[in-house]
Amino acid sequence: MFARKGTRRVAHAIGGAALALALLSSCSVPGTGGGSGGEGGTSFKISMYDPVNLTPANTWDYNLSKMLFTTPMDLDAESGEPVPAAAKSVESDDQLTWTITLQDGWTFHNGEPMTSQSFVDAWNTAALGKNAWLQNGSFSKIVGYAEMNPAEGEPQATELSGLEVVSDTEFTVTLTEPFGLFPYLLTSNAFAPMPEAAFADLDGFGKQPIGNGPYSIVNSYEPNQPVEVTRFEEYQGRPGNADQITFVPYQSQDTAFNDLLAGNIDIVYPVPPDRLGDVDGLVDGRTAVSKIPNLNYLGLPLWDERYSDVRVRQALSMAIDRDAFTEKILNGAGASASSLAPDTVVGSQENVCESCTFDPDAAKKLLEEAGGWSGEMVLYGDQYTGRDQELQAIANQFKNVLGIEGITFELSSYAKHAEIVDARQVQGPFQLYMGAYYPHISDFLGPLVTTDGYGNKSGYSNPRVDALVSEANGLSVEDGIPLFEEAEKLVWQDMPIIPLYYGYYTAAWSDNVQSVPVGFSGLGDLRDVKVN
Amino acid sequence: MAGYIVKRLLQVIPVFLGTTFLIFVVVYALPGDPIAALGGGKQHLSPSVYNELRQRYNLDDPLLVQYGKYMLNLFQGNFGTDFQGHEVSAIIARNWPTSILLGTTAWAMQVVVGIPLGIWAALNRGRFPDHLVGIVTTLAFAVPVFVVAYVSQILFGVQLKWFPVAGVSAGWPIAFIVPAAALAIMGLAATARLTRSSLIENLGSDYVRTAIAKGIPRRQVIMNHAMRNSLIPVVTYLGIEFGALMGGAIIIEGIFNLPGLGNQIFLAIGQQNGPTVVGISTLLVIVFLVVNLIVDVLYAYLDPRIRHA
Amino acid sequence: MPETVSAPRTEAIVTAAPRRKLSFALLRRPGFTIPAVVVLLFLVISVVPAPFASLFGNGDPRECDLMYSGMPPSSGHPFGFDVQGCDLYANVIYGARPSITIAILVTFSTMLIAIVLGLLSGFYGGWFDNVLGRITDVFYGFPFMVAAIVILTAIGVRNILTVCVTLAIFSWPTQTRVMRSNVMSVKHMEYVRAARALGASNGRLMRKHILPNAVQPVIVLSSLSVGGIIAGEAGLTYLGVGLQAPAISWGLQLNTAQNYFNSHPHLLIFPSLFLCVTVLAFVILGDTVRDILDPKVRK
Repeated sequence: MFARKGTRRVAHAIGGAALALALLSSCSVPGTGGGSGGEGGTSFKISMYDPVNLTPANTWDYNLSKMLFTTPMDLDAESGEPVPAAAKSVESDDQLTWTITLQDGWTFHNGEPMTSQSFVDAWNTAALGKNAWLQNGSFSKIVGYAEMNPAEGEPQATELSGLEVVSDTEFTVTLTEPFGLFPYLLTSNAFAPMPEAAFADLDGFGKQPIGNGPYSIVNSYEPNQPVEVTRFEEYQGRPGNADQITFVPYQSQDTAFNDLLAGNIDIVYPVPPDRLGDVDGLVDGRTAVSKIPNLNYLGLPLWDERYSDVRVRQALSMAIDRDAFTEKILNGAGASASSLAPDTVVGSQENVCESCTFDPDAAKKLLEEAGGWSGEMVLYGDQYTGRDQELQAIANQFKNVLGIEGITFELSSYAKHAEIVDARQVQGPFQLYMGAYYPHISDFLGPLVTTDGYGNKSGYSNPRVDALVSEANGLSVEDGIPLFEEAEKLVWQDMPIIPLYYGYYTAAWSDNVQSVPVGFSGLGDLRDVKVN
Repeated sequence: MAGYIVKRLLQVIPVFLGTTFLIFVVVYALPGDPIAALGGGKQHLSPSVYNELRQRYNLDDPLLVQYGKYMLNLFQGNFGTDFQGHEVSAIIARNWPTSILLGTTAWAMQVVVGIPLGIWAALNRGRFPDHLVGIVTTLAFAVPVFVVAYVSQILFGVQLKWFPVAGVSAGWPIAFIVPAAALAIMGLAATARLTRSSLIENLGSDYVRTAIAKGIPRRQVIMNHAMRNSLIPVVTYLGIEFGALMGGAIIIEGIFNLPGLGNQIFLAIGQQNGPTVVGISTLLVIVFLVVNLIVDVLYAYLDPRIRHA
Repeated sequence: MPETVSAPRTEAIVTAAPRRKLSFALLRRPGFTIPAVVVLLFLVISVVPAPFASLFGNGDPRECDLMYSGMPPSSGHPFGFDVQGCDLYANVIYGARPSITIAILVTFSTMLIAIVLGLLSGFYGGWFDNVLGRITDVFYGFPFMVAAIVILTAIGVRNILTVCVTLAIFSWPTQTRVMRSNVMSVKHMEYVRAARALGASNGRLMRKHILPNAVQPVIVLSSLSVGGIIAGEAGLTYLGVGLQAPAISWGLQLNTAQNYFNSHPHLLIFPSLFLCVTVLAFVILGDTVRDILDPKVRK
């Protein structure tokens, strides 16, 4: 199913690119460039977190990697669905074995052709646990990963046995189980290719990578120093607007924001929460809000008998006035959650969680039916700025609506919080953040509410949900949606977690740039940015 | 003199080892797994990578072994690498200049404003200037530094727009004036008070009275005799203060967003980045010990009674 | 770190070993009575905050409604509302308790430790004095802020007790040093030698002859540093490593206020005003005590 759709999209994409090229050649005047670019070029500066390493599978950096490398698929800015990029098509009949056909004639920045081997070599290196590349986990669905990453002892293999090169432009990937969303996975930077030249000196590559993306690196990376990239003129995909982009690392977004106001930088993302109140006035409204796929929620210790009655969990959820919460406490940096995922996510259903609506009377009644609340309540959270106020607001509402007095908090560093949550040492609702890797409901349901999900900290286990999610994952995207929807409905009958809000992140920019793409993944494709 | 210096140097060694060990123990006891914190709560590491990273940073070694390894490296001038793979010495090299600039500016303010204020008060003892200095210094002691910093940021940065709200992009001196003033204010008050009391004490001493009785002009007596002697404790105090100011200022750097050592170490504590915390703390201890040593030796040089005590 | 009123700074201001006795002279000085009344008032407030908090009719600091979040002062709510929609005046009044409690606990525990250790080490000297000297050196060399933040982060539990312990860890060395040096100078006084010659035991010598004559500088130093302790607690809490919600404290109120300053400036003003007045009262009180006990700086 996906195959056909994929191929069709490629046709669209090629058509679009051709049209764009035609438009460009007819209207653009060569060598123009307004804005800040000195010698006739256009350029802009953007803030980032220090990427530490520029090897795409060994960094959490997103935007810089996306400029240096092009992954097999890209997320469409409008629909949030995967569209072909470095791959011409990604197809499968059984969602188990996927055939990836690459674009013809693409090269790396050093002139080396981009072939199937460039992908296979890069993925094998990233998938080997010994290399300790940060995004290693992305490859766990491919056959052979387990042998390369044993729980203990030495790895029995150094290559993914599920990868098979068919030709220079075609290779196949075999998964351990059917997974219809594999094309989504291929939009991640972890799946970027690497040229042969990289493997001679991987450390050097991490500092000065040779990519296949729309921009090539100018200088070598140094910790906390700006990285400059320049447009790669032989790039076969959609080219970038600006001639040059400088990525400036900041340790704190407050500093970055101050630099934006001082005119030292053009784009800042995200704007620090305490500046959201006055940001519009400061930059004349040159801001946009990104609704990246995330959920802030309260996990519940289902193993604790005080929380074992679903009516108690529903009562707690219905006691929270999420609209007042997002407006007053978050200053608008989030939207009330009424399901697992925000509406920018494929397969999300608004208001599917009925108990996520503020209803004090019903909440009170439910709690009474369940025998009321006795004993103390502790709320757990990490020490992210403002978290104590979030918990305080929730505690106040539990008190006002349900009459639960003397609620205390335990706020710990992020790592400690994660540790006590994992070890089930929490004895009350615990605040957590779930960020999906791609905007699809599967990446919320799978981690959060399936029995083995890595983000399932409540100890929730419902065989029917597991079965539905697993079955849906094995289908193509279209066929899977109804099953995912059914699974989420089941989840809310059990109320294993209390959704709070979907966090918003704001980008702000200077008058030097326009068309700053802000979308479901934060800052979007920087190729779109135009320099004034 | 040489004997005294050697004796003081020998005293420094156990203090240095004790202090760094204590830092190490406390950082080691930081709750939460630093490797798990690497993803910052938004990302998640695969188990195999997690195990590999723990090994690379010796995290599974016992405390004493870790401390030993660290000390061995330190004596070779190696501050280690943080959990993101950055050299801690590079972090220090990048952030220290900002702290030094901030500290030196604040220190200069203490000297240039504090000492004259103290002299002015002492020479006008019991009169209006004395009372004024008394009230001002009392206020300076009373208002907590973060309140001073925050209020002045809002007043001069946000409301009046005379100075940048935060950040160092405006460069020295403009970006450093408000934070340095906020940082200096308490030490400035202490300097003024110390100068005042020390000068008053000397003015009342026999040798000053004798000199004036002998007909030497009062002004000359004050400048040549009383001032020189009364500045000895002030200089000592300012010396120690200088050392303390070199180490950065967590609150001030945080509020004004200055990328100095204080800001860096606060971030590192929050991220469980032990190597950075230990590295910067060790540096601060070294600076403190060296400055104290210099001050002590200077003092011993100025006042011979000390070295024979 | 030079930011908190650290002990070395106050030590620099205390100049010499005084000999005069604390007397009723204090009561006749406005520099004593006015701050003493303020301190007393805050002391009473921290013991029984309820009547003070309900002066304007809304005395429950935990009666909150998000509907009123951040509203400016109005009738019955002289300071307005905080972010949570609680009465800010009631919260500021209740916020006195942790500050005062911490000030008292830290001051007295530090004084006690300093007097005992300083007395023993100054009197006996020898290896005990040496070891203690090096230990105080170690604590002296610590950058206070860094160490306090790391310790509080490491303990994980943030309440009045842990904040007190952390502050005390870094206050005792200075005072112990002052005590020790005073004991050493008093030890050689003629009346002490006389008492020893008459057969007084070591314990009696320390208790009856040395302690009363060596303790005054420690009292002066303590009274001078009370303000610093309150400011220290507020600073740590402000940084997010001191007291924790749902506790009510000025430091916490200021910590929250900084994130909402643009929209609700009054959240910053009232707690800092109360904090400053309290610290000021203690500082002036300390100054006056020092002036009276230390004749050198007296007018």
